[in-house]
Amino acid sequence: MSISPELEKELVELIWRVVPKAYKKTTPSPELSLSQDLGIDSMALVSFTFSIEETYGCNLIDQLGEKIFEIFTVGDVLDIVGELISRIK
Amino acid sequence: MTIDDSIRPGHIIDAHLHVASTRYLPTAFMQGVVENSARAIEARTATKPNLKQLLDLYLKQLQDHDCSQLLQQMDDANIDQAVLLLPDYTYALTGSELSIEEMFKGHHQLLQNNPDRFYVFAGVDPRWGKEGIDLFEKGVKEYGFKGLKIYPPCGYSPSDPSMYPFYEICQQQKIPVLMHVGGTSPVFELDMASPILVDKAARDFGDVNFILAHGAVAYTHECVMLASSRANIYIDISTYQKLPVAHLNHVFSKGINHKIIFGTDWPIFRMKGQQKNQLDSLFQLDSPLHTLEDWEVSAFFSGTIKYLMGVA
Repeated sequence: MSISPELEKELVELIWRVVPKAYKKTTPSPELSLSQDLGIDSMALVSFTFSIEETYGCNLIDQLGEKIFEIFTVGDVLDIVGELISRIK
Repeated sequence: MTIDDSIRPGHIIDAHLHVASTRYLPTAFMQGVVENSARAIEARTATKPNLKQLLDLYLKQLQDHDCSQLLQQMDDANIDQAVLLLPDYTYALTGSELSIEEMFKGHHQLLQNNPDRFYVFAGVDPRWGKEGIDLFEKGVKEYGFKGLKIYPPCGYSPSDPSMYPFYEICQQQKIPVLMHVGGTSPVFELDMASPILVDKAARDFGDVNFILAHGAVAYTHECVMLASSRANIYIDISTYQKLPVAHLNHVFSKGINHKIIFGTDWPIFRMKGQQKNQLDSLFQLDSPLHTLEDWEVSAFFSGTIKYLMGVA
């Protein structure tokens, strides 16, 4: 399932909010690893999870189940989180 | 991230990980972690996170009771074997699902189910007294555990005389002691987190080998000093994922490469990537592993821990 360009843009913006300064200028691309290519640490990942929940009024932890542990790249965010948000929007 | 894994050895043992299960970690441990996380998230997002939701996120990572997910990840990463560590938090913290005796049995079962994949290091808080010493001895002699895991921040010094009966068993059985070093959940006593506290025990038990867990990341200078000065002190690199891999140059340039041991501390960094990614990050071009001799790489990934456990 593909997500709308607007949602894709919003999700990338939310990711970039937690990207450390040193990596901010990286060009967004689906294959980028959140931790290794974008320098996002565990705490920032948790912050990102909560910002998604706050923005879209969903509960990622309950609604994604084990799938939440399959999110490692920008593409995973777009595919897994994007699909969930598209469904509930 | 550019990887060159041409130096990858034939056999890999992850010498520091845990069963990702709420059965072996009291909720109080995670509640402490959650409180710290909540402050960090609040500072970043200017919103107070829901503590229950945050706790749920952490607890969700601890549902791999039979290690099936761990084994799958080990297979994907081509990690051949692993050392499961069982520290005893049951004396210091309330809210454990199981008693320490039941935890020993649970780990014995995991070992029986996967005899070619796992080794177990387990410990008992010395304040449980003689029953605890007997349980540890049973773990080694009947269950086949290959080391003692100690967690001084629970509230005891590794050189306290109450630890000596455990070390005597390690001495007789020729197995190592692996000791937690450095920061942990805020529910513990951090004045017991220093590696220097082990020095007296290491002197009194010169033929028992001590591994300083996280020694490449926490109290690095002290750990390197201890490993350089004492023949029977080693360090592992677990929690290396916290820092850029080049940080490991600090330990790999001190003449103690035969004493440095690979470990990931699964499931702590589960949200940062699969075990494969965690292992691959050690093969980045700026990793100090690329400067090592073949025998040093081999020792790091399996040779040294096998030597310490006395296995072929």
